[in-house]
Amino acid sequence: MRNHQRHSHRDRYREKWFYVLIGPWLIGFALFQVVPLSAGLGLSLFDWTPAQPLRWAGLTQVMAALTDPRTHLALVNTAKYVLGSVPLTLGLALVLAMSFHAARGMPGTSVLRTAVFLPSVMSGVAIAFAWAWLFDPNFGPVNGALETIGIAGPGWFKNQHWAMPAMVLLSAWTCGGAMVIYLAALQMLPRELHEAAMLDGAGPWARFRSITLPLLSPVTFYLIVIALISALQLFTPAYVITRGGPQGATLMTGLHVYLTGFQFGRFGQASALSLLVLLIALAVTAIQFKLSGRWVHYEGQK
Amino acid sequence: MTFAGLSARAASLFAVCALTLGACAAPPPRAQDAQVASAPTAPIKLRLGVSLTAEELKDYEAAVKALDEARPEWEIALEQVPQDGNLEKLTANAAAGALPDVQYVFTNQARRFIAQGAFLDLTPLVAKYTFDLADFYPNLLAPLQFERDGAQGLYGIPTNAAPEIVFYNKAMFDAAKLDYPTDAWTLDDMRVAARKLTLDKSGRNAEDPAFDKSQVAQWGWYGALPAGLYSRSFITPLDADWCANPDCSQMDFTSAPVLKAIQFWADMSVNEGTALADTFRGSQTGAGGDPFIAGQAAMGMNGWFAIGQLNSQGSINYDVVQPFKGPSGTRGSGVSVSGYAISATSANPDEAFKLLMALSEPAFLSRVWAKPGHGIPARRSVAADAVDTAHPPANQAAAIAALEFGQPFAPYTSGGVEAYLTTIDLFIAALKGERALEPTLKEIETTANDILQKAGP
Repeated sequence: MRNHQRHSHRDRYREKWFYVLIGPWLIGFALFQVVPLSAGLGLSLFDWTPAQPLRWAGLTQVMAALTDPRTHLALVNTAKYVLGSVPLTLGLALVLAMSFHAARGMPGTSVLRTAVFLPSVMSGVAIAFAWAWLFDPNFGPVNGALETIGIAGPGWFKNQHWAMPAMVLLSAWTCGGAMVIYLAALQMLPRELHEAAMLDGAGPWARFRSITLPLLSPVTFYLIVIALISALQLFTPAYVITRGGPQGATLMTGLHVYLTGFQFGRFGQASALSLLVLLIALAVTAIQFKLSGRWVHYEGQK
Repeated sequence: MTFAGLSARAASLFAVCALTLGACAAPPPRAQDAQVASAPTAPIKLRLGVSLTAEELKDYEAAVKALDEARPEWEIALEQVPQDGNLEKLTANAAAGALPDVQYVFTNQARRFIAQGAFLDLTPLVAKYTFDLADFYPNLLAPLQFERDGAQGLYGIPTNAAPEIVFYNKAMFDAAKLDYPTDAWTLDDMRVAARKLTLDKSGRNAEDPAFDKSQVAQWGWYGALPAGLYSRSFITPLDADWCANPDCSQMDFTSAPVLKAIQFWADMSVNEGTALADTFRGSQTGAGGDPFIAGQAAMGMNGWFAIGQLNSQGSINYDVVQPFKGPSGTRGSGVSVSGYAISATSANPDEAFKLLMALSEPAFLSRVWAKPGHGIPARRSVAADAVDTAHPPANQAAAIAALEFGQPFAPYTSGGVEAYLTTIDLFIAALKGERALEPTLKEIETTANDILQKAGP
């Protein structure tokens, strides 16, 4: 009985501290997440331009957003970006993680690992400016290097057909975050499975395909979900480097929302667009969860 | 009492109270309140929002500082926004009801805010302070005029303007053994010269039967219709106008005169390969930016502002002439106009207007704007101060002349910017020959009119 009372008192004590400590976060969450999200949801049902009162619009803003040709363009561009950047970034992250895992203990690996991770913690604007310079058709070192081997480099961000590939390449540069997660997962893989497979005569590729990849699948699943959501929200490089150009080639959904609101002054439609992007992100994530049962293997699962 | 002694409910209550107290805190005092509460000599705070180039800002800051010192009754807070983000900042400030007392505006962007009621009608203040508008170029006022409730109002005062004029590269003319263009040249003279000045990568000009227009290294002409809806100055000399009504809120790209005029430029870019279709974005030149400044074009139309960059770069030997005449002797020049408006939420509209008047004084305009690369003062009495023969180009008077017949960028009504941004790609595609001209122009007309109509006046 006394023991139960002691537990109960301790639970209440911990509960109080839980609320005190989580309070600031909850306030921030309410102020900066719940309120804007609700306001955006509400605003999507109104026609509002600055300095004017709200006018009820029902679903007309949603319809306007859906029928806007720029929305279609932004969705197509975003899909292209997702299809290019997600496999490239995660593939590169996995290759780098496996290389670092294989080279663990060798001198210089920690420095290299930090160098690969560094772009993930750098300011997106700084990265965008750096890439705009690197890929400048006239003065950039990339085209300079290509020229030395006799290749006339393309216009990259200034060319309608090359802007999106350049944007995808830029995304690969920030693969360090995914690489660190893969590396941590690789270090936790049970060695016995590999040893048993080696005894059975399995080569490196067979072990990678049949052991490493399946065991990494929960991590890969997590990274794909996060990468897809990030790709749907992409804004900084498209805004800083191209403003959606040239000729709409890099107009992404995030930028389209921003331009509709802040350049064209149609905040109701911009809110409806944000809602649309949120629904797409939710749908894509739900589909991934639905499909995950087919390829994601959790430890202890039959 | 320690935190451990707090109940969970009390802790939550504490958080809610803190939030409520924060929300209920007194708002910062407005300048007007401060004026009442403070000593009578306390200066009135006036926010002055501008969006200038780095070059302009240097002179502007010094002039505003001098003005601030000369007028102790004011405390002027200068707020600069980079030109790239100006429209977004204006929109955000207007949405928040936080526009500066005096706001520098580009007239092709201002109308939306005027129509929304974000700026004051200056007509009563102009009358109250007998502000003389007669010295201002009358053609620059139109985008700042707006009819509300049947009454015509004036919602801004122009301060500077940059007309489009023709730039030409002397070295390229010398190499082609051609006489330099003059103010007397016609569009046909230009077209003939452009053929001789356009060179492919093998050095053949466009008159050579072996000329390869897919491999152009030097263009004869740049800066044409690809600049989009704002470029009607290119068809004005050809006796056409795609603005179907005075404020250009209705557009026409399908009538015979407009089609014929646009065909003139399409022939140059698509058929002859002598004019750039994608002027500034680089899909043809391989680099974004101004192809004339990059030494890739022999002549073309550009704004007066380009002189600043050309002179600071110093590598191009150039001069300017007035925009070329059409068959009937008409010229066209699109004019980028900037001005000042007063926020409808200003606590001190009278003082804000007095500041606007001070910023519009001929001496102030001359000090700030009358320099190569800056806008030209919007007042006739000091416009010519912009001519400085110590710097190239020699024929700077061409720009002053262009102000007389130039037209501000249009459409400037509420949907103007969106109509422009939405149709620019179609223009470029049509002028590059990637899309059939007539159906594309029909699409441009439908798209632009739809946007302009939905956006309203």
